[in-house]
Amino acid sequence: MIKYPITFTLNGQRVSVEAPATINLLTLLRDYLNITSPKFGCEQGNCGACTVILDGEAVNSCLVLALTVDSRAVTTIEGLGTPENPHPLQVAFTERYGAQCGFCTPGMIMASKALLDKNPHPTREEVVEGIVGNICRCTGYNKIIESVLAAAETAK
Amino acid sequence: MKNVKYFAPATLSEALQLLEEYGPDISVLAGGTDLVRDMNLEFKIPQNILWIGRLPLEYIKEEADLLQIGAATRMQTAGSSSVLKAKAAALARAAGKMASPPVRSLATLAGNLCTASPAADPGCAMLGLGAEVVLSSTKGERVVPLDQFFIGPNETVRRPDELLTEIRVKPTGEGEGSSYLKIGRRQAMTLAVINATSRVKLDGAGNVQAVSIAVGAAAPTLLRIRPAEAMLAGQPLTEDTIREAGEIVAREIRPIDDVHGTIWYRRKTVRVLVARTLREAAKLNGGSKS
Repeated sequence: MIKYPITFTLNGQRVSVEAPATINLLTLLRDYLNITSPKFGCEQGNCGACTVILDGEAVNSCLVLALTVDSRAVTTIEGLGTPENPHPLQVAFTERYGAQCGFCTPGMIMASKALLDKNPHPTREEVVEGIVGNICRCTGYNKIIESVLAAAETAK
Repeated sequence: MKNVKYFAPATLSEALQLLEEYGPDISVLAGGTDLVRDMNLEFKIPQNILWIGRLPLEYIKEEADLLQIGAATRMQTAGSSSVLKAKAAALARAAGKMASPPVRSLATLAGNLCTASPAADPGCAMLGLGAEVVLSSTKGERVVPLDQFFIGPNETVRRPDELLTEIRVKPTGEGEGSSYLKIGRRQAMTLAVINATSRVKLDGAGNVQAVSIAVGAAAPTLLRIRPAEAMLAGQPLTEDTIREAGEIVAREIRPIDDVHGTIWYRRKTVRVLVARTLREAAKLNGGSKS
């Protein structure tokens, strides 16, 4: 099996890894780089559990061929804050019960971050549109939407 | 495991050279939302992969009364383009609403056309706008109108040595408009149960000077409905002629019963959807809200 070198920026750090042409970014992150926040859900781009930020935009990492991230920048929730200094979205999701089982949460927060980076003060409708590709089977979405709006409020 | 080779050329000539060399043994990767999904599910493992993401193929230009759209223009770029919103509104809406934001930041217009889903949203809009595509190879390029591009589900006239490089749309001008609408089982993240696009140009007297109508999820390919267009040509656009156009469309389509909807439902709804797009394209009252 042919392997190709990939060098890219992962959560602000330059990383180099070798991978075959057939794997997706989700597999690269989880199985090659031990970044386990993006979750393996549908592998079809329907559930959003694997959402990461690629060059500033939310993408389904399962739909990105791993080799195509060479020389680009990927951010996962591991790069989004620390336990001591969490990101406003992480604070809001914690305080407002935006997470229950937690499986959708990394993807949900990355989709929300991409939204807030482009539109820091979204309406409720814009938040809904921003996370429309992320499925949650626990909270019924209201707590998540409230968390995103609260995070936007704090950032003001 | 197969030895899959990967190429990410930076120039079009290198890409075309690779297509000539490998032909059917190389798969073009644009946004990946179809190809990588198929690889994940093991529906298709390509022999070799040609990624076109490094080619300068994402642009929207207006030149000499022609909108030239780079093949690798992504849905979010098309959906938020002020040029397309003003002059190819049907396409801006279809691209801007397709799937979800994470999919729209990957999926490309040419990918949508080359996948050739009979239910494609941006594809339906481009067909209804009367778009043409440029197919390039080492032997030169040819321009194919979209109504001659699709030949079956997931089948197009693109030869294995050709790359779809550009989409060309005549911008809507004075007295002219376009509209795209879709019925899905949900508001978002859903395949069209039926979709429709109309492009209408009215003359000073309010008669139809030019019209094109396309529908999707209604036959093995996206369809232009020529008989409905012919009926409307030269006529005033009234509730009567709009209703008649819808009836013709309902007769012309060849839908199937499947998990997304039934033949009965598709024939019932297509006339309503086509009527709404005609009204909106002509800016008549009763046009649907976006």
